[in-house]
Amino acid sequence: MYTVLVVDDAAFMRLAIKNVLEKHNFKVIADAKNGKEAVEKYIEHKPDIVTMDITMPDMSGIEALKKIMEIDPKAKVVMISAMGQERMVKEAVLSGAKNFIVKPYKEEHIVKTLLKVASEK
Amino acid sequence: MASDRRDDSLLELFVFETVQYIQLLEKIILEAGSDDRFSDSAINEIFRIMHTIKGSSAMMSYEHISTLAHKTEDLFFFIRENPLAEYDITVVSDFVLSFIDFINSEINSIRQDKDADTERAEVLGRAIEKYLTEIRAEGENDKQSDTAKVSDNLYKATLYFEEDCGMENIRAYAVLLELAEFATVTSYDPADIEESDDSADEIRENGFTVYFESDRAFDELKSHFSDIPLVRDVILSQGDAEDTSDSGVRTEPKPLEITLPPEEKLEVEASDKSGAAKTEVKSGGKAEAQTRGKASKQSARKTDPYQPMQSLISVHVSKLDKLMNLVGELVIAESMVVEKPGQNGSEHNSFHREAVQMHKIISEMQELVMSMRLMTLVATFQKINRIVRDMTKKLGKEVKLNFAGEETEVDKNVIEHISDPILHLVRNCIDHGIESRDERIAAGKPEIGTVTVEAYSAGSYVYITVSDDGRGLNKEKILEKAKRNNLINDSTESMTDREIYNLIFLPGFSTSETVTEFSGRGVGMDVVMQNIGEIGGNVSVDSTPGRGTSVTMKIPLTVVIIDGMNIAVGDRRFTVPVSAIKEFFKPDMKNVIKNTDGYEMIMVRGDCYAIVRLHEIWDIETGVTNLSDGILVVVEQDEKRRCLFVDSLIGQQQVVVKSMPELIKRSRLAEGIVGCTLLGDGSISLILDMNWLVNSDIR
Amino acid sequence: MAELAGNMLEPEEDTLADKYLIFNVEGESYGIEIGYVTEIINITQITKVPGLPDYLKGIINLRGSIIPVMDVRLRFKLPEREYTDRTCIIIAQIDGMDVGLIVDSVSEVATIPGGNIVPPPEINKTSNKYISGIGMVEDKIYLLLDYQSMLIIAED
Repeated sequence: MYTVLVVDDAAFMRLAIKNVLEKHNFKVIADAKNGKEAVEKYIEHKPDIVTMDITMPDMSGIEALKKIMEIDPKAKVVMISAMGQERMVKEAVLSGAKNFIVKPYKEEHIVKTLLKVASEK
Repeated sequence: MASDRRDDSLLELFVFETVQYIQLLEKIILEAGSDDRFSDSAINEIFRIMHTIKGSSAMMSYEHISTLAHKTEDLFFFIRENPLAEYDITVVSDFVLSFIDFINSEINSIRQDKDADTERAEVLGRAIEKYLTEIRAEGENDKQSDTAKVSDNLYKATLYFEEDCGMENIRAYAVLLELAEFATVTSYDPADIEESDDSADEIRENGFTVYFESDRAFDELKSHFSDIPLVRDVILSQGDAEDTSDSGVRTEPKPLEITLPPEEKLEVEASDKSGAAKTEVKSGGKAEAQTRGKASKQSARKTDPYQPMQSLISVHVSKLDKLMNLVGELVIAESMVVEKPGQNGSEHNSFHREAVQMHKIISEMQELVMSMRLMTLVATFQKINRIVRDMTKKLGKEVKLNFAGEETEVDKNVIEHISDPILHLVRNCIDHGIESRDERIAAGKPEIGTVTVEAYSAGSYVYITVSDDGRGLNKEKILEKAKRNNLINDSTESMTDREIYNLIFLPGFSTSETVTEFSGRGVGMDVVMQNIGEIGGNVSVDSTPGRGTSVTMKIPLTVVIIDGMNIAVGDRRFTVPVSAIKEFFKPDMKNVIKNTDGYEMIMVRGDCYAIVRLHEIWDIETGVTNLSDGILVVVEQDEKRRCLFVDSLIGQQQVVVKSMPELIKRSRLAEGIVGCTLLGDGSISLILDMNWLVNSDIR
Repeated sequence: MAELAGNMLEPEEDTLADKYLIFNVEGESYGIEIGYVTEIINITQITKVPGLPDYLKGIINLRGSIIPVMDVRLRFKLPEREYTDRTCIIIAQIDGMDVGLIVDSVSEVATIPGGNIVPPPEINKTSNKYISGIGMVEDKIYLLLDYQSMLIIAED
């Protein structure tokens, strides 16, 4: 069972993602509501995979991604973006994000993406 | 690699793809038009096509095609490698066009199992070689032109992402980024993924194609691509010698095996009966949306949501034709069942409701079948390009061609009927409509004439207009000619201009004063009218003297077509659905028996069928009243059989079903007739109601 | 071809009122409101359809449209007469339904103001079934067609 850190400033989104993932045999071991918390929780839990919202207060998702990649170059971070954030997503991909999901996302897309990313060596 | 045993499906694929390639080739050449030189991307594209044809025809053991393609490839290799080389674009274009004509005729031969025209290939090949030697000698940079670099570590991959996954262009970008770690990317399409987010739409539709070089093995690469999240499908091919240009505007023909969920897209392989292979690949997103069936979508998702699906299939057009025929007959059967009052318990309350439900389902089915057969007018319009090029060259007239609405989609059957009329109209425009340059200058018009071909759909009709800015129709000449041919009486003062112009559609009228190679071949506008009429459309013309002429064809988007057997009784014509016909024969009188009421019956291999004399039940005068003089047609409906006695069979053909006029339908008259159809000569044939014929108490 | 001016078939919208296309059957002049008329054609090949009353002569192919044709003579129970080159088919449309009326000849378009029209006298139940009024202009008398009732095909 893969462990996941869910990062999103909206509690609703955190819960929504958590529900989807737990339904599909992921274990959400922690969540974070901003970039700063995300980095701390990552160090603390070393999850297999991170879902990272892009726009958040107190350090954006991109910044958090960069920090995490610095700490652990093997980290697997999947960005959660909204339509119209192409530039930022591109930056995230360049900065080492493994993949991304576009909101409004489909349940199966999130599951498929995380499964594939998690199973990479 | 030559294989003696040729697999039929492989051959079909070869024909299919080759035709696609040469269509593309033609487009490139015609687009280059009046330029001095080919663009880099055009050269690369032509080179690539030649290379592909060379390879595939060699696989199919068509050595002559392969050799010729190789020679043409050499020519373009030289042009590509020597950007400064002097060449005459019209000469080279003509070579390519000759190549296209050659391939077209060879494909015809292949279809008809005829021998290859190797001589023609050799003549053309030698001409190309000779020209290549000439331009080589001219340029000092006589580089060695070897064959194209074919390398095993060249790959082409086309990726399709999951539907609605979003930001496909960024996904493609991420793919490139990853690929760069172990491969050298040479080019990709669309090329503007970084600059334009609109490219996401393009990827959604056509996938993302990347050409690259890599040392990794095929399987390894394949699994790399398949493992990218939200990649639904990958087509990876190896060894495709690909140019290194970064031409992003490449119009890559889509491979046959692209895979998409079935509800989204169905590729239609089409070839007409004459053997001239015509192929169309639908590229618009519009049709996809139409073909999309909600139900199948859900079930497809359910089966396995996490596996990419290999679900696009090629369907032979004959199967679609058959399906459409069946649906056509279903529609007729439905009308027979529903429009009969007092039968099948139709007074029953629920009958109406159930009939409505059935009608809904059948209509939806019909719509679906129709949408599967939709094709754009792109190929038809492309043919026009070619004609215009040939004609203007020969006639020395310069003509600008404008197109609009080539993405309009119509039924394949409709396309077959409108191609010739459109070409004919365009020929007419150039031949008769557009004046000579001097004449135009004298009239104060732009030196170069314009021909516009425009298509658009409105409601359930497609309108296609062919117009020119030429001299317009000559009313006096038309009237004179119509009178001469006894098409009108003498009193014509009262006719409107429009009425006069529309005289040109009457049979036996041809506007050409002088017979020219292109239009005056005895076929006139009446043929246009007839072709369009056969598919239930009509044609009208409008013209302003000195300003131009425009002809508009109004055509139903889709038509119901069945296979019909046309029969004659006296001077009447009837059509029997072929599916209802079990057999027909000249009766042997010793098998005919009469029962006590005088009913005639016939024994056929132990079965006894009642004979229905059509001329008697409908009181038709005919000289054929002895059974032995006519033909008996055994028809079956609902497992009931009867024998129709008719004068003669005229022949089998696909007919467009038209419903009877409202007045007749509404008054529930014309028992035994379900509809009608137009025959080639414009006369009407009535479609027989099999249900009535086998069930009713005849006499 | 139509001997009639097309421009009289395409008058301006506001001039349509009171205008009637006048045709002749058995010596009488009949008028049909011009608004119904879409076209006038010469007699053409008619395809017989089994099971129709005698006055419905069959169907014709008018540039791809299938249109039923009615012989007005027979509809009026007048003796049948062979078609000549004066015989015309008036294509009239009502409720989106096209019907062709076969008449002896077509003569003109007349303006018959409402004030000049009187209702047909009642002779018996079936008389004047297809006549909505009688119009008079100067010394001419026109029988105005009740076109709609012409199209009620009773199964008689």
